[in-house]
Amino acid sequence: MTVEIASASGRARAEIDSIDRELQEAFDRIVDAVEQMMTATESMGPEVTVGIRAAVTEILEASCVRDIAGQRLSAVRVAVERLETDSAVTEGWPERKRDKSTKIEEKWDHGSASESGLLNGPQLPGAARTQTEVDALFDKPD
Amino acid sequence: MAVDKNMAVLIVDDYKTMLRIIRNLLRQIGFNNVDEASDGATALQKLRRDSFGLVISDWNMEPMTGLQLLKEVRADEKLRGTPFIMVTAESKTENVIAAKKAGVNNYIVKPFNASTLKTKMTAVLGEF
Repeated sequence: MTVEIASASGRARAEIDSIDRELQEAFDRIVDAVEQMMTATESMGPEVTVGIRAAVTEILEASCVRDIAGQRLSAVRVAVERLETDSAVTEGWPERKRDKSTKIEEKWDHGSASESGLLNGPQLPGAARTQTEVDALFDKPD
Repeated sequence: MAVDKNMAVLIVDDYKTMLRIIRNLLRQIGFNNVDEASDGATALQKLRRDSFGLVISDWNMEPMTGLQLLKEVRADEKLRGTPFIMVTAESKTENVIAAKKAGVNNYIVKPFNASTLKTKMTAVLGEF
């Protein structure tokens, strides 16, 4: 693996870790604030809180993106490691490829053997099934 | 029969933000007796120790996934009747089929909204 590729992939990993950490810090603050709002409105009447409750729900729903973003970042981490491994092979470092490939596969394949192929994380926009499609599938007789 | 909103609900997810989101959405619809676990193995320990009226679990967790947790619950004589809702970003057809085959009561795709959570809980537990 060339020094340039090693440097670039190292930087990419550092950036991914930084994004993940900063996202977590931001969402901790967002949810902290939401919980404070929920507590503050508990003693107020519904005529005051109905709008606030709707806004709080919107914020909580939108915050689900933290999970999706985290899983996407994990996928990018694995992709970077695969690129490193491929580069190592090109450069004739078979030992490194074997060691890293095993670790990379372990990251994806942490479920049981029967779950092979079922741990894919979020699909890209357009490829994911909607809740309505999943409901239709779920309700379909066996 | 009306659903007892004081029943214990176990939420399982490896993202602490998701645990807080689901806990707060449950709080908004009147379910305040909520416990949490960050992986399937911890959840199973809690299920065997305490009594829960509903499990809401993510799928993609380590070391025990949500599907493995579901299978353990359904294989356990004392736990097999526990209502179980999967909340996951895994939305492929084979995932839904595998979860259904394992005995999941309902399936929510992330990102989800509060209305979907309430609708699925109603479908599983009854009106509340």
